[in-house]
Amino acid sequence: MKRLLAVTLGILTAIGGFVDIGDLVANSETGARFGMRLAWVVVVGVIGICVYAEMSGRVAAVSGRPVFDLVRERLGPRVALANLAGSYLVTLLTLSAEIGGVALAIQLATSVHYLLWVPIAAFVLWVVLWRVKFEPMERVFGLAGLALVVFVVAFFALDPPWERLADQVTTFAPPPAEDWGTYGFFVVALFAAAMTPYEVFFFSSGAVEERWSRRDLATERVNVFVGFPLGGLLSLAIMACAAVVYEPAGIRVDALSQTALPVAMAFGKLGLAVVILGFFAATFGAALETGLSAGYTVAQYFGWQWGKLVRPRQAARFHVVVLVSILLGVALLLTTADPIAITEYSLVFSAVALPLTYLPILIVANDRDYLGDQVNGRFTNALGVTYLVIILVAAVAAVPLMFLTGMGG
Amino acid sequence: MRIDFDLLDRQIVDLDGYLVGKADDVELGVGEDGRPFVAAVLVGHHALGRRIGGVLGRCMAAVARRLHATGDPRPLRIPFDRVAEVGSALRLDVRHELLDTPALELWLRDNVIGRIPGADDAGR
Amino acid sequence: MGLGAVLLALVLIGVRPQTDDGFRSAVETGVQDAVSSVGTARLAGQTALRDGTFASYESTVLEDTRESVATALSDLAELPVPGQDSQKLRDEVLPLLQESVRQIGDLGTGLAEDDRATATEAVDGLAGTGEKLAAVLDGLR
Repeated sequence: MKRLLAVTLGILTAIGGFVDIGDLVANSETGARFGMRLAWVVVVGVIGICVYAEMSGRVAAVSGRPVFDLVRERLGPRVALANLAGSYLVTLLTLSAEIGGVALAIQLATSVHYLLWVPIAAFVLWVVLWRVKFEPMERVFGLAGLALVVFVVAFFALDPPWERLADQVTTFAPPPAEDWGTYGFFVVALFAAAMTPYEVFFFSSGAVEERWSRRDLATERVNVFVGFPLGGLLSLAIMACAAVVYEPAGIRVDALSQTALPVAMAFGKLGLAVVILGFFAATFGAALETGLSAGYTVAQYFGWQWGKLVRPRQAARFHVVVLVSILLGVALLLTTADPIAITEYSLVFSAVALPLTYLPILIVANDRDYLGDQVNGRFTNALGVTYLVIILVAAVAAVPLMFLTGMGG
Repeated sequence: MRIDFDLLDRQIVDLDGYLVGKADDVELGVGEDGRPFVAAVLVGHHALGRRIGGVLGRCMAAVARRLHATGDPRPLRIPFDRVAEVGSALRLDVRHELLDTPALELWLRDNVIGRIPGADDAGR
Repeated sequence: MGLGAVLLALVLIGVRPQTDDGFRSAVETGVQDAVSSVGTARLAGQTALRDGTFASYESTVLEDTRESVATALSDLAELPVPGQDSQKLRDEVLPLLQESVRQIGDLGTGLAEDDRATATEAVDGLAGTGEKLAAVLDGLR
């Protein structure tokens, strides 16, 4: 019974924790511009994150080593340092975007300008990281993030035009008002929103901190294979709501307030309150994860003591990296750079940086020295290599598409 | 055992699993029979900087030389005899308290993290 | 080397003299922004009139949308006009944008002061302006 409860909690946390500012922005933007024509990308991305998270969770549980620890071992100090620089900058950009998302969510609830909330949100974020235990921290925000299920209900309540949406789902080409360039750009952005590197740094480091062993592998797989796809369903619902409300009117989405509007149209004030709570929980939870991940990447490259299980005094360098990263994220926002634009850039560069960490994990997942009998099977390897190709294509295409379309135009 | 594949860049943990550092470099010795052996594992940005090389590596080593607690800026040297197990990590047979704390950690502990309330509270 | 060429190309694109085509594409961007903002303000206004939102949300949405149209307006107003066709296009679009900014402002005041008549009128006005803007956008594509 207790076991069942733990598994259920794990799944619910995975669902609620799946969506972050990148998903909120990318899914409603694409829903508004392409209807459900890019729904397939979310499916491809969710399968990808399942493959990646399962491998890195298995590596962490069996070898006791998190992702970035292995990156340096497999790539050598020089390539791994370049890798660290790339991964850290992307995580930092994402952290900044999440803090901006928290501030925007509070603005929707208070009408006080988001820039005033940025320092406050960042301070509370740091206090939570400093004082709150790992597990309750993850649980509370993951579960509160489930408020975003309101998008699924709202979609049905909006009386969607089923035939048109079904047509769009099965159309693999841009609508008349868009071209292949913008189509490609949003394919990459959506894919990156589903497969963000920090999720895996966090996931595998969490597995090491919670001392997962081979016995926990079954639980880990259930969390990943049930939780992430259901989280992907939330992403699709966000896209679908935008597709129903905005796409027919030719309205583009470039603000978080627009992402929330379909729910208000369906359920009024109560729905709006729930969705704003969901925004807050999703972005704050993701800010915690990215803040820690920034520390994890640096500490794991250099071999420093990291994590929340030891006294902060014993992991001084790790805690300094986390603190400095939050300050840098705040500084970027205080230049008055638009948080939504920061989010878009973070997605593009996530796509660029993804192969850097994916490849070493794929290699180690095949290494019997680390994994013994738990190495990848034939099916996992086929999937793993297929995704390596997809990830490489997205990484190569991301920056040219960004310039070609001017961030999607 | 291959030094480049099985030793270098591995995580080093102490008796209790505390993370000591990475095997940034190794020190080789030559035995009486003329065969080389691994004498010690070196930990620190000086050692790492030397291996990375180039401008960046020199900078890293220079910073590490500046940051020293004892006036003796050298990497932490752990004799290979102290390594009890070579696996996915190098496990030592001593506690980390017996090894020198890296200068950067010491400085940040005393001047930054240690001054924040709650720094001594048990792990979370 | 490659990066240098890309940067150079970007600079050249940025400083090349304005043409009718360039002006047209700038107008298209501005009108697209206005269609999005006016449409969003209208939907938010309708929802607010059905008592579906609360004040902090309304003011945020309306401020965002008003600012977006105002930016498009000032961008277009400052753009040098390269030719006769562009002048005609500009004369068609600028009043619509001014109208949008005013209507979104009215909607905000109406909702804030609980003046349903003003708010309803603004929503209806936005629907009309939105249609005109959408027609202009269709013509530009």
